[in-house]
Amino acid sequence: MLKKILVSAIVTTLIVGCQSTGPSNQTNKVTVKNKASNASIAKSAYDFADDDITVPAYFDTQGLERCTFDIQKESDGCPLKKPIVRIYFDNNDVAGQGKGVEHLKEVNNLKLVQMLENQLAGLSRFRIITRDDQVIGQEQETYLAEQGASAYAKRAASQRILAPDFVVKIDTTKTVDTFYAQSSGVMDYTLEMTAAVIDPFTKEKMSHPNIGKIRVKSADVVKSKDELNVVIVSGRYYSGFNFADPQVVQAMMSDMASRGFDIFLTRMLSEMPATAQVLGIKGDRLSLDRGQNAGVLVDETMIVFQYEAGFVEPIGVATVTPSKQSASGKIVKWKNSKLADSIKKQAGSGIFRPGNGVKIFAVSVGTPANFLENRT
Amino acid sequence: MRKLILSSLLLSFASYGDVMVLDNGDISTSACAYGRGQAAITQAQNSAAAELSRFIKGNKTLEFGDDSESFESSLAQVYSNSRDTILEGLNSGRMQFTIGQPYLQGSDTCLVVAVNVKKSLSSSNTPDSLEWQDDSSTVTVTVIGEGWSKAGDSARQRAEQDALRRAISRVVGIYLSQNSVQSSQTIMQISNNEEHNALRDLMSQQMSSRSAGLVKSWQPLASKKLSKDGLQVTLQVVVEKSPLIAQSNDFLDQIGSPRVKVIADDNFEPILKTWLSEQGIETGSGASLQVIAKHKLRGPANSKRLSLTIEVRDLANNLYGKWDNDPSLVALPDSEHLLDDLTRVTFEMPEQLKTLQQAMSKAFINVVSQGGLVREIKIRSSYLSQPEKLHAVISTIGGVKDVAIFTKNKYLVASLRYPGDTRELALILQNSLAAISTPSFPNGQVIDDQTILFN
Repeated sequence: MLKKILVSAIVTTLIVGCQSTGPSNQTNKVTVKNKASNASIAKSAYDFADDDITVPAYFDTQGLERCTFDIQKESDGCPLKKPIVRIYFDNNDVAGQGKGVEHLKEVNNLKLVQMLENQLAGLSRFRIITRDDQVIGQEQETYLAEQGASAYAKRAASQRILAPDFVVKIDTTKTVDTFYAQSSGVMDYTLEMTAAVIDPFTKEKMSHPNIGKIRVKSADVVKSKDELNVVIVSGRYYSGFNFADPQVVQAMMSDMASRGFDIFLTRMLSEMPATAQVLGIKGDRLSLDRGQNAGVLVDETMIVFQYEAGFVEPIGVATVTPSKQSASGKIVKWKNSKLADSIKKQAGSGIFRPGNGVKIFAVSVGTPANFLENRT
Repeated sequence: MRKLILSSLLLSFASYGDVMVLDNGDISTSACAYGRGQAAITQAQNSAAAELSRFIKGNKTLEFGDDSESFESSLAQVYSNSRDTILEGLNSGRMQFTIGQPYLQGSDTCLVVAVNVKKSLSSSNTPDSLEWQDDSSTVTVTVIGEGWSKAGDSARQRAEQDALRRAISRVVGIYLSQNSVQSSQTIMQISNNEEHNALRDLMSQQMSSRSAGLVKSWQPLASKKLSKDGLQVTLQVVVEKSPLIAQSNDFLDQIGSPRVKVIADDNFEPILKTWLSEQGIETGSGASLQVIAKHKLRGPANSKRLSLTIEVRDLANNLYGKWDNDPSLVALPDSEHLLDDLTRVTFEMPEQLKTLQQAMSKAFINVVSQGGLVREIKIRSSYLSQPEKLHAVISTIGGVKDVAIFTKNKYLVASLRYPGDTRELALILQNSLAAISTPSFPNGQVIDDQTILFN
């Protein structure tokens, strides 16, 4: 018996030894997929389990000490300072073998830019300079006519056009393919978007925020796939999806871009979460030092964590409601830990205020659960 | 511990909020204001100060009621003695508060403000700088001058000359800064330090040669040796005011009311002429200086911008000053009346007009500092018996600078700068050139403000 055990032990050792000299295996091979992208949104704080209460990436523990709170002269070290950007779409990069490639080239990118400007402005991550010169020019002319040169001059002299820190460039590739069946064909449009943040003076493309690639397919934005069927007779459109009508193609691309922007926004919110410092905890109520001004959104799910000597310690998960300059929230679930218990106890008998070098922060976990429903 | 929280004692003063009196003599309260940043801090500070002010006005003593704990008698005594002074300080806004570190409470910014009853108020004013008093005929200044012996002058002589120059410069500075310059030309209103210093330097430089008439008396106060046989002297100098004012005004008249010719597009000419006349600058075709406006429209159709350049040149095309507007301020969509709109708006912008005013002012000062306008004296060569002496003769005329002689066809041309009137120069030349000209030397004709012809 002892001999058997000894032999098996030697064999095991040999096998282990052989394994340890082989190549390390830290990566997995996966198939690169070409599927349409999807949006990820935060869970409601009420759905969090204890293990889910961890601190998400990209939190920022900078306090408001360096802030001037003057939006035009905000100090560089202030977390409320937002980069000023102008948004560009690249020229129409069109590919594919399908029908109507030439009509795809006519899609007006400026309309898409304005749509993205509107959506991105609401996130309060950037300050956006609009490229809608037509409306601005028209309004300035009307203002001058209605208010007079003196009032116009006074306002124009006191309010300068913002100077952009960066440009946000959206690169798109639009593809159209037509698949032929017996009696009809099916149009298949694809829109691929990548976003870059570029310093226009140093030409540097910034590494952050990293939005990645977003792919939207026409089949994702139509109610029924039959809407994409088309009958082509002698190589020309006969009935079904009118690939030759610029307005129809523009509408399809706008729908696709809109979906792409929704995904873009959710990724942006994960890449640039809102962080706020906790001023106090009373019972399960939280008071935060910033709100809408730091991009905290309505019904934001936030992880509350203690920050001490470079270490983060999750305390709980809260649902937060912002006001203009501050926010208040409710810790829905406390982390099962000694620290959380201690704070909970102190907060239960009055207002717990962090002190002595210990700071408590709250960081958003991504797009609020009801954001896509209510804002897109 | 003798700390008393008055709010708990003074129910009748509930509106005072939480005002606390501490043993160290601090009367303190906290106040909050909605918002963040300096504006909220100032607002909170003002609320707290008002709260303290109300509290002090309402309480003649710090002792209240028989059942309350009485204050340390010395503190109560100090408060009683200094209450009037504190109230006076509060009313005049000179009260020194101790401001605590701001802290956040929700959307509010809060802070603690305290006033100390023990510390006496500092009522001493900052020492007044030298003043230009109208009832005195002189101004006395103490100045330091430095000098090194050179060209027959001793170090002391040069140091004293330097000190006297500095004295005049200083008095001119006082005159300029404390009197809105006694000139009807608003263009000479001194608007910033740099301009003020430039003008003061120029005026004192012009006046230093005549310092004898300006300095009534002076006496040495101290002297100190400097390296390389130099000397530093401290002088008390008494400067006469009336000749200084007279000379200053002459000088300001020279640079403040020039006559200019406006060369501009039809869109700009009327508005520019109106603006110049509002500044006291006369416009007309026979002027010696030109104000030239050039413009361009730039940008896409939806946002056209106006680039406007205004230059001050003399008739020989020498540039004395230049102003560019800030085109980024205004953009309007293209239309028939675009240029008119952009021009109107540009001439309604106070900051833009201020910079234009400064540029013009600087240009006119440049004309004087460079020795006046450039003139050309054209003399038919045959009239000069000793043409080689032309340069020397013209150079001796008082005020003439930068003389250059060249030949053009049958004429000898003298180019020079002269600060005075062209007709006056023509008369002086007539006399001066007689010594080197033929008996048939003709009278000088003033062709325009730039050219005098002896033909």
